[in-house]
Amino acid sequence: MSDAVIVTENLTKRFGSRWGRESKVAVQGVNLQVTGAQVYGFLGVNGAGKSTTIRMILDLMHPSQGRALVYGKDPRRQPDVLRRVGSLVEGATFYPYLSGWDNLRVIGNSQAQFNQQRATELVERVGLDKAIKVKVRAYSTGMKQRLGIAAALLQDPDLIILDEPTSGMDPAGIREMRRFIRDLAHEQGKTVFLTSHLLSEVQQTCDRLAIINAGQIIQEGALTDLLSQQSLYELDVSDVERTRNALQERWSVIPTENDGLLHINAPRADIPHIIKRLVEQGIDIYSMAPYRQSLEDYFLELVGLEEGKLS
Amino acid sequence: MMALFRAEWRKIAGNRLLISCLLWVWPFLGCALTGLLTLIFLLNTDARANYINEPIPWTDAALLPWQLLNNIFGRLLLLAFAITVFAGEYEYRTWKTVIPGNRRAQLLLVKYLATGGFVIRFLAIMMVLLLVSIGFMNAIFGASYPPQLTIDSFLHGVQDVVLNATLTFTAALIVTTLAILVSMWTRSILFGLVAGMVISIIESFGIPSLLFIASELLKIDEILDLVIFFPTFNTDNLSSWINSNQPLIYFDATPKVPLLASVLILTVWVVGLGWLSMFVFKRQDIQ
Repeated sequence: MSDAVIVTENLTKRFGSRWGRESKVAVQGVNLQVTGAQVYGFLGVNGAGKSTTIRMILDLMHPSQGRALVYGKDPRRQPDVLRRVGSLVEGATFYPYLSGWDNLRVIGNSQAQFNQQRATELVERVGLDKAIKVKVRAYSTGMKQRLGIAAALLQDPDLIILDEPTSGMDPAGIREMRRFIRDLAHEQGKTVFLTSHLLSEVQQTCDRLAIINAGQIIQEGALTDLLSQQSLYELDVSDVERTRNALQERWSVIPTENDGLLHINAPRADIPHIIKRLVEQGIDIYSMAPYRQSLEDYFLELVGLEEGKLS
Repeated sequence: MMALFRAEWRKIAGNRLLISCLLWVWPFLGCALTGLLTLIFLLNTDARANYINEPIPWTDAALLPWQLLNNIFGRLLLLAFAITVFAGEYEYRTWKTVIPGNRRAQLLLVKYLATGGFVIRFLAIMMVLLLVSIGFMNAIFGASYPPQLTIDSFLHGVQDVVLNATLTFTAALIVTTLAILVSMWTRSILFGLVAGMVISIIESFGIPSLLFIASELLKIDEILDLVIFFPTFNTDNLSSWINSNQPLIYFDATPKVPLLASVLILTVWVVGLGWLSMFVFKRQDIQ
């Protein structure tokens, strides 16, 4: 597709396959297509393969198989294409003995040419203007993240890759960053490819997302489509166990943390049948209503994990 | 490329601890040496009289800094500097910020140039300080500062400095490349320093000793000749040719290696190690 910003074709990364060691597959046959001017979320638990995929896109790691294209070019052969990309990969890291400003100078000159005016604007935008002359070793994690985002945007890139951009930030900072990221895509027409462990943040920020688990993409699509794909109903009943036994043969019954509440995945046409069956079993029904699933519920259900195990 | 070089220069210059401990130490040593000599000549009249009869020529003072890297102490200091510069990128995890958008070979080349540039710069500062301080010391004690400054003596002195500086730069390149390879392997400043120093000491002392032992055990004298293929022997040999116009005698039986042969062997080392470091770096996954 001509307007594809990132395309990955069967992208695979195996580690430790040399010298007779058993290889570990970190990323397996990932096919992605990210188009422009949107915020694209990339979700997965710890070790799912998110950062490895990003590193292959940025030519920091070499794929064992397949390839990644950025603006139609392979960064391995044409690294210049990555000058259109700003990135923050797995935690912002800097030269600790230099000030924030000197770090920006070094990074700016390493990428192309340091633009003092743009750097000043960005430093103000990320709220680091008072600390920018301080050595980075004195920065908190949140401050480093802010500096990392400023560094990623130094060359006014068309594509911005942000790996856990709000990690270490306070709630106010997270909200500010969410607005900033959405503005980048929707006001300035940039493409933002981001990973985050804060699923509610992703839900509020991303237009489209891919979910990666054990190195493989298990779901991909527009956020609204993914969340409305399943027709879930929340059921308030007198006996949860008997309800499960009565329904689980035919429908998918998902337990919740609340006593007496169950989620049932079923088409709308089946609702009368569900109610009829429960009445026949002598189970009291207090309410049954469509349930709007959050991304977190959807994600946990998809990767088959319990809450609390997310990175 | 210039912007990349500026970035590299700023990175090194901004690491004040590194610069103070491993580069300013050269000019400091130069001044300390002159200060020590001055003190000795002030306290001991015989030593002063001897010195006035045979003062240090300015040509020797100018050469001293450039000959430092031809001994193990100088090499270890340079190695520590180069390893901190290279392994620092791994330890601070900053490669991931710098690499995207750049050709890795270019990044490595710029690092070579900046590292080499800093070493040359500080040795040049040391040379100027030595020239001035020894001249000052000679003036205090009423000693001359030979040879008399003429166009011929100046050009001859400059030629000696350039030759020694070139040799120093070559030795620096070999040590730096060694440092790069060690840094790529260890990805840590501390482990890089330990591994680099062990390798450097083995190359300087261990290999001649091992060759000697092997030749004694196997009763094959020719094994000793293999020493002529190693960098330290050839930098020492070139230094001997440049400064004494004669080949280096390592062991009695070791063949006398002509100047051009040493140049060729060192070129092979520089190109070979440089290529190897580029090859490894290009293929390396950055965490």
